[in-house]
Amino acid sequence: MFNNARWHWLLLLVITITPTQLYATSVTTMTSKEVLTEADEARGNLSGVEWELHMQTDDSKGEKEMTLQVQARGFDVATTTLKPARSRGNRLLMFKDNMWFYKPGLSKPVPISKRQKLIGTASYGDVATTNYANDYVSISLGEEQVDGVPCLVYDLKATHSKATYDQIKYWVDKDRLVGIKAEYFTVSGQKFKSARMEYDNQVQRDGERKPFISRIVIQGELLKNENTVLTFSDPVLRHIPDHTFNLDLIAQ
Amino acid sequence: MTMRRYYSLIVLLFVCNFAIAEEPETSPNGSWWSTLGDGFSYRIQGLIYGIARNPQDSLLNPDNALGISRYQGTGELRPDLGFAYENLTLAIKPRFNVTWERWEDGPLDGATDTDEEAFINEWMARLRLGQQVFLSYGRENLQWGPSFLLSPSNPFNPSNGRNNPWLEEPGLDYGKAIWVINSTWTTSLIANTGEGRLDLFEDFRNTYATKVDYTGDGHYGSIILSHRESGPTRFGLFAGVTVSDAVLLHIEGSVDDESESNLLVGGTYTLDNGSTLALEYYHNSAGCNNQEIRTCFFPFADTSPDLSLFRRNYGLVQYFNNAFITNDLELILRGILNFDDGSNLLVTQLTYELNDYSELFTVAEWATGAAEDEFGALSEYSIMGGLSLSY
Repeated sequence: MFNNARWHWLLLLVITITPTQLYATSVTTMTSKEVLTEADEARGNLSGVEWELHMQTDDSKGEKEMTLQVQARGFDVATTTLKPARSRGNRLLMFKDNMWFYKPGLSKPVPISKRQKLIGTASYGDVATTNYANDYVSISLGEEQVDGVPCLVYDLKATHSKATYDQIKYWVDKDRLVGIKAEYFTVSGQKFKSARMEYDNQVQRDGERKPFISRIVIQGELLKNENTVLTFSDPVLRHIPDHTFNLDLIAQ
Repeated sequence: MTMRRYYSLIVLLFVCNFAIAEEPETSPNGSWWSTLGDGFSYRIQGLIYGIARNPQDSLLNPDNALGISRYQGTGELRPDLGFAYENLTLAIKPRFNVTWERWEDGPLDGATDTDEEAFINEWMARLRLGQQVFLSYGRENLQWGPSFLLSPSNPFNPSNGRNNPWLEEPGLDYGKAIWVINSTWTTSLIANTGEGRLDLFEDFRNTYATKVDYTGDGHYGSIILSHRESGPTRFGLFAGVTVSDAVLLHIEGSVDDESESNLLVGGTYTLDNGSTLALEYYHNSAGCNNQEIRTCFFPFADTSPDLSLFRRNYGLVQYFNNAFITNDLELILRGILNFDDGSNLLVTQLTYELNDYSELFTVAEWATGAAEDEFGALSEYSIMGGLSLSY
């Protein structure tokens, strides 16, 4: 039926196409929620991870820098300010959608909202890991390329009022399943800030090395010169016990 | 069984029950010595500030009988030192102060004085048993609750020092056992065994408390049952809810077996620009509603007034912006409204970050009341300005 040359061509075709087809099948059969869950996990949605976060803002009100040590488990986050020296020891606790801020010298932790500004255009909610898979209902907007990278595009609408943003347009890298671009909208539909994400860090997850968030650049839309850069370094997976997020133990 | 023995027994049960549940933590890489070195932490703050105030000649302070100075200059060194090794945490906060004062009112008119003081405001030794139980003893400023005005559920010291965050609240002596049951529930046994640095109107008596904390998705709450030796037994609570990304609501209060109660309700709203407004209302059934504030105190009154607010009904309005005009300027405007005698206390706090290590700060207070009112009986205004250096 087939001569040798035809067999060779067929073999070459199978070798070339099969992995791509299999991968394409796995992505295309994933639901939006599964894609968003994967993307969330590259932003820290793990059983326990520690990293250092450097934040730098440059806007109409001037420049500012800050370095935090971050401990995250699931969507719970505890941070300790390392720099600058005048803020060293400041602590932030985000636990089950409750947020508290503690400053040494201030007498007690105070409750804060996700909307309060941490630095520049970054809200306290931006430091937290994302939970887009559960906090938002998604509508697929098809595919687009961002800087030559094929992306799945989603329109996300908050399912409850405690979510940090009301509406998000989210671009997920189709190959790596990580969110690389986001635009944030107010209730009235006005775009007020956007973000670009990079994933140069790696962590071991589900038995393989997977990309992990390394940099977020947040751009204010109303004032174009508002720019905040979050740089995530040295992620280390470790078990974070319950007491890390305990308010009774936050003050040192 | 006395309360003290009862608490000792419960603490012993805590220890026996959970010491066997110890899970060894993964040892960090590196030598024993470097591990020990990594456990040290410090934060050193130096403050230099001046205060100007005008003491009132009132029935509560006739001819400045309380000896309130007109001018004050203070230098403070505040090292916070810590050490953590495996399950043990040690912390100490010694303080070294030099204060110069000048009087221009009353019998001390024209006098000046310089006073040096060294003391330990807080210290603590804490042992962790397993991942769930923490035993500690030491001197600390123990605070809790979501309220801005004061913490009425706190049976030890309801004053939270928020009018002037640059002045430290005093530490009291506590023994504590905290059991972190899981991510939702925590319970604590607390024994206040000494007044520490706190000045009390009356003799100190030990107070014992049991506190149970609950944390749910977007809400939290705590109940506190406490008993003061030869004093009342008190039930306190606080709770809060995250209504949205911008709105938080809270409640805090207590009631004792002598039918005295207090209640605080409040909430905050964060604007799109990140600045936050807070509103609170506070009612204290044991508060004094006599016409003159002087008659709220011994020997005219037979009950001890609250440590921080003496009347029955108060309101609080607060505005907070941590990037006011520039990213380096923080502004807090705070108004405390006394609904009983009509006096108000207006507070402005400004902090300007000079660089990574230093801040300029000012705290201005202005009391609008007359000499017989709560806010106005001691001083009409005070202005504090200074420099903070941190390393």
